Amino acid sequence: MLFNSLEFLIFFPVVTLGYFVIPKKLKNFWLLVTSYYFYMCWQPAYALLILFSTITTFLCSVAIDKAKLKAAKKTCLTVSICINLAILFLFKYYGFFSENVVNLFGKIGIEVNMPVFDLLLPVGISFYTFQALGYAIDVYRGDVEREKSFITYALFVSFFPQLVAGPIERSKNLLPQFKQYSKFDYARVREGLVLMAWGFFKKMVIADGVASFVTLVYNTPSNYGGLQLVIATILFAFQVYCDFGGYSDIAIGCAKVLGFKLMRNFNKPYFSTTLQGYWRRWHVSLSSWFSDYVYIPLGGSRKGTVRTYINLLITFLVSGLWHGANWTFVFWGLINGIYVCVSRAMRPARTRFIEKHKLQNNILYNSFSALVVFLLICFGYIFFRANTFSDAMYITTHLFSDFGSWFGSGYLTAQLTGITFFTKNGVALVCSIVFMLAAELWEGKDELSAKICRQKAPIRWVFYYAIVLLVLFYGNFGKSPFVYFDF
Amino acid sequence: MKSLKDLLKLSAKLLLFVPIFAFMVYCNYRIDPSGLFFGAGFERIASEYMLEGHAIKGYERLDGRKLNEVYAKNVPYAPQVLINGSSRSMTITGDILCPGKTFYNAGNVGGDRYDFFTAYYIFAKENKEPEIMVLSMDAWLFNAHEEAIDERSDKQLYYQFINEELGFTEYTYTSDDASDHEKYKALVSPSYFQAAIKYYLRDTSGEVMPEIVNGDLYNQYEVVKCADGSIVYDAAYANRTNDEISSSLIVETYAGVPLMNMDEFDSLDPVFMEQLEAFIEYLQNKGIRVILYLPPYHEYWYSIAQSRANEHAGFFEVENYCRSIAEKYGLEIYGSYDAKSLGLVFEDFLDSYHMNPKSLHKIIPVLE
Repeated sequence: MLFNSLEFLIFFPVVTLGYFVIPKKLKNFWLLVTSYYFYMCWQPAYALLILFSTITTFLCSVAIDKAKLKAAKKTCLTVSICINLAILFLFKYYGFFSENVVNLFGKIGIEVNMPVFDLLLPVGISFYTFQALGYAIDVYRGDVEREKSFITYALFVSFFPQLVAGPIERSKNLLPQFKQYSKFDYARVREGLVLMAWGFFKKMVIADGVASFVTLVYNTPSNYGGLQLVIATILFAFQVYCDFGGYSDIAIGCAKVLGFKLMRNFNKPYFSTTLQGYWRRWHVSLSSWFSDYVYIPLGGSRKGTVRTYINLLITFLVSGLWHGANWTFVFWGLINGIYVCVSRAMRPARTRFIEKHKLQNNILYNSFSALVVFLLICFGYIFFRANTFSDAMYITTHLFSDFGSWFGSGYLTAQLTGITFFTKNGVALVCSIVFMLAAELWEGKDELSAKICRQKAPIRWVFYYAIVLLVLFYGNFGKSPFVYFDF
Repeated sequence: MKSLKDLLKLSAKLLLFVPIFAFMVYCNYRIDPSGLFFGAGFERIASEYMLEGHAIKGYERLDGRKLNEVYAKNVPYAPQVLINGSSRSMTITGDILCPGKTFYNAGNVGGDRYDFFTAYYIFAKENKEPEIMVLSMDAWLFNAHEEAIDERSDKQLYYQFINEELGFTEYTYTSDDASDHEKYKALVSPSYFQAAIKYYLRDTSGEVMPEIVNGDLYNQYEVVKCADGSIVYDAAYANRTNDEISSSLIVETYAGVPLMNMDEFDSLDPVFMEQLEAFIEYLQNKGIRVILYLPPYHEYWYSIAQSRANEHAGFFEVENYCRSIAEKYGLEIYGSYDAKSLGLVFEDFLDSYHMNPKSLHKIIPVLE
């Protein structure tokens, strides 16, 4: 079931009302059943995969907890990790792996026949397997106590707001919340609903709106000029942010209405003034997951400079692969790994420069830094979005092919017309993006929904009406799936 | 207790969004970009003018069949008298046929055997069945040849009618009617709202809109559709000299070309005959008075047709058959394909097929 569907509009109030009405003992069971229903609206059979992953990690965590010897605990953890990664590999990476093996051996003249499984990628598989893995590792490390109730644990893995696209929650944060039942609280519910509305605005107005331009250009990049490729790439940056950020806002808002606090997944990433800062603000739950369970176990920054860079590159390569079984994602991960390494290497010089010229709070300098970071991130997105590696290479080599004409009279208008910008509400879309960025600037260190709810009634209601009307007038009400469902 | 209060408070606040919702529903219903509630664009405007009692220009640029459908949807009453048929009967007005009664001429230019049934069905579907149904019997209705079929007629609607109403279930159909469920859905659909706003704000400068006729109905430069569905030919055509009419008669009966819709018309199509009789029985069972009307051909055309009778033997069976079923079902029957037998003369026609409206009273009595 999609958040942006009529079904969800009925599903969510029913689940919420049911949750607050039924006895405490049944609340988790109710959420579990409805979460499975939420998932089964897509492919009922694939709910068995979640169940399988849930049962195996639950049993392994019991075994880890009961085992006396460290080696035995380690064996149980290894079994849990292997089972989850095997599921992930089979459904997500096997096709990519077998294709590359066949190609590789083909190049040296050896014909290899790999079995072909025509499997549909289960929605959200990368999210719930990582959440389950994180739990098993936490139990092994002794960071959390083993969950005694299977129902509660199963709910932790399948909780519907964050089941298919995160945030990837930590057991330490979410599991205890399933034991503290919140009552219906007006202020909290209102804040949750405002966050959901903001998420719908980001997804349905901005992400779905710019998607048409991006798809148009990226499906046949050779038909478009350099400026059009640049525009499409910049718009994709907003598409992916508003799509995934919007999803996260709706998920967090949903959970908040029900009385649960999920971690903030995006924190104004396009205002980051450094690349490292960007990764602390973008898809926070995944970045911190990789940091805690990949980067730090590899040694983090504790084993010397060279090893730190190697660890960073490995982490980003794995992160790229997590996003999709395609070399374009791996390359995207590599580019970002290199960015972060270079940024880290330049940090002392940058710090000295800032201190020398007293630029810490200089708006111009910070804006320029944010712009540079944004453009570098956009460059990486070319590989993230391109359908094939050769398309990505074509785009990167043709970005400035018509640079000489960019500032010519009427050229920009003609290029925008060429991507149907004016006929598909492009101006309204750009205004919506500016509105979103302005709202993010205004929210400061707070969360937007919390800040809105603290305003006086007239301001609040202007905001509510503005959001609802923007969605009503410009939202895409077709069933467009979220980009991160594929990951 | 606090939770309940909070729930009520939230519900009350959510009610403040009702104006937005109401605005959306209002736009979806009133603007109705797909014509689910009032029918499609231009035809809706035209039907609104007609319902206000105006005759309209620009009719030939509209979809006449659609216009009839939209009219049937929006007319607030069931016309007492309804007539189907082709342009050959579209000049019949309520003033000629049934003064004092509500009337609608649901004929269509090029009306074929499909239109023959659907002209009635579009009203019946809206529960606006007439008290009197005049069936205009063009001879080509009985010709199974594809040339006798007009590409503009609504085949699926015809199949729906003969399947659902006349019981010929061997004919299947796909209905493009919006069900009540779809209409309710459209009423609350944000996508429909966006389409409505787009439609409302569209650039209409290049669109040819139907226009209300000002001045003398019979002195217009283009065909006029009257408020009762009948048509008035443009002045230049309606006032042609006898020489001009003679020339057109020659062209229309040119020896090398089959007479209009008479291609390979060797015999009466049994399928249509069966459906026609079922239709008459169906109407009579509903208590509707059925009248058959045989629109005359110009005597010149008729004499040419007689001279080439071997090319379309079926044509000369139609009138006899119609008279036989009129007798069988006790129907009134007016007109004849043979103008001479009705005492009509050259000047009573505009061309081979169309009678001068001024002469219609000679063959059509005023209905009681």
